[in-house]
Amino acid sequence: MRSWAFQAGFEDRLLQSLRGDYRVLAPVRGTDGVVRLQPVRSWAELSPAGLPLIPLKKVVFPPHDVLWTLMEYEYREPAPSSVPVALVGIAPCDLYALAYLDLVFADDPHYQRRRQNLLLIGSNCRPTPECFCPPRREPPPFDLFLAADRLWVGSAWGAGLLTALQAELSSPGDLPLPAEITDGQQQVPENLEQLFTASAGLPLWREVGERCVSCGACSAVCPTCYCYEMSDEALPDGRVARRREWDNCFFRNHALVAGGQNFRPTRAERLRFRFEHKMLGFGALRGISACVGCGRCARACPVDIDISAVLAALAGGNKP
Amino acid sequence: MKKLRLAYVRFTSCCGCQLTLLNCEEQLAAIDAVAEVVAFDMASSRPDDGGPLDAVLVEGSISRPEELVELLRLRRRAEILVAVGACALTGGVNVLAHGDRIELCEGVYGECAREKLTFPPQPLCRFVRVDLQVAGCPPERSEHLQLLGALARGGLPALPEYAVCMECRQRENLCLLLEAKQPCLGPVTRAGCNALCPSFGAICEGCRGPVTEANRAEESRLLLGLGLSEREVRARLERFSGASHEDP
Repeated sequence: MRSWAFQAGFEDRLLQSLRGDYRVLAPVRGTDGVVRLQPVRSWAELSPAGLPLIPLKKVVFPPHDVLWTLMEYEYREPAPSSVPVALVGIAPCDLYALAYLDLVFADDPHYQRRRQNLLLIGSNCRPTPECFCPPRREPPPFDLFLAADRLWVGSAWGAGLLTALQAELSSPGDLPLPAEITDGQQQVPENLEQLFTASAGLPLWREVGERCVSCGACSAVCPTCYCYEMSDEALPDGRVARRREWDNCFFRNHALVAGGQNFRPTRAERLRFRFEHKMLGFGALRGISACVGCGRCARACPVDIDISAVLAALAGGNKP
Repeated sequence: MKKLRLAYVRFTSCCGCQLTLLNCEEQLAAIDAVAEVVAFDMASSRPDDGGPLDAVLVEGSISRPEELVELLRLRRRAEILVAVGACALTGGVNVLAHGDRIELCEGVYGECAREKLTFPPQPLCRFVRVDLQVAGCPPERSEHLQLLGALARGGLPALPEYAVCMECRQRENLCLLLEAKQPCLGPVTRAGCNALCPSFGAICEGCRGPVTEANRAEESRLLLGLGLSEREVRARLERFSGASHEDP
């Protein structure tokens, strides 16, 4: 893969060159300690040691997305923003998660409209004890990727950005991405699907289900959770808006259908369903793990339910 | 479009819910255009004609025989009965007064207390079918407007039944329970306020009542783990959710 070495201060000049044409967002730690994707002006503001609490999905799949509004007999779709968004300093796991969402929303015009306007500048992360990313065969999707003093180009869009900055780059070399990006930290058991199916009767699910408070935090912060609910809001003055809003398979209403039937009436069933979806995928994405090992769900859970511990319990029979 | 025949009735409560609707100044003319307000004692002195209603909004808990009779009459008159606010949903803070009822009433009303027949405040669903619950103490203005907008179009609004934590995370707040070690009731409280209090750094006190299937056992364990006494944990969990729930 083509890569270049760059000089000190290059990152800031890259940001500078983006600022005129892009809305530049990066993970920044706020005074309250929470890391959020927000506008940045300099590289020093970036938080290399922390993933943003709410991942990239909020940019391409916002939590409350107005799909159309109606007044009298006039339907309107909100005008899409013409300003492209540059996400800068994005960790590999979040890039892999976006690749998963790209598959899920391949035919979704609202997602695609924003996705096509999204420039991705990845950077090497510092894994924390909660991370458990699996090994990968492919590099994650990116336009540019920065690690220490080297930079890789992943698309023509990314290459185009470098024309104005050529003077600061070495001559190109053919170096692979740093190994830690694709090596991962934790092996996933090969027979996971069998282990999962065999676990149906284990007390594991009931025990963890009793602890779960169904608060939805794990799903809100998960970079690949994409379930949504559609709702119409009508106001007395005649305005109507259709919204798509984040949903969660832990909510009682998620599998509730007409007539009051519920496909997954208990917390334990919902929990098992969620882990199945994360680890094994569904439908056309069966066999593609949706969990990128970022560890956000475990950090956000008020009752310490940890997907990596559940995975370990499935593999080794330990208590999570 | 036919005008909606609407009543907003109040039982044992503070009028806060009715006032919240009156605070929607910019939409009052629009409401008047779609609804004929048959009764609304905080807003109108027009006598109730007693005729059939498309919808009745009910604020407050039931604590007197007269209120119960009136509630049953309203249920018969109205196509749709909406319970509005914590008192109507769970009894609200009215329920907090425990102990000898006569003593309690005399403490407030003096000697004439014995002439008034009252009983411990009860939520509406103890007596009648409730078609929709609008939570809050008081509910959000936006929920009042969504309710009236949906009623005017012949439906009911989709109001959240999940926990405050979901909205709080979406706003990317610091978790007051986990990270600030404060006794936040977000995990067991119904959302819809857009996590108003936690977004200003104040813990959720649970004013919107318990979320469906609230895991009170785990929430109690979390609060006890923060060093609260059992008595305080119980008091916090009961403040807006009535005494109908047994403690673990």
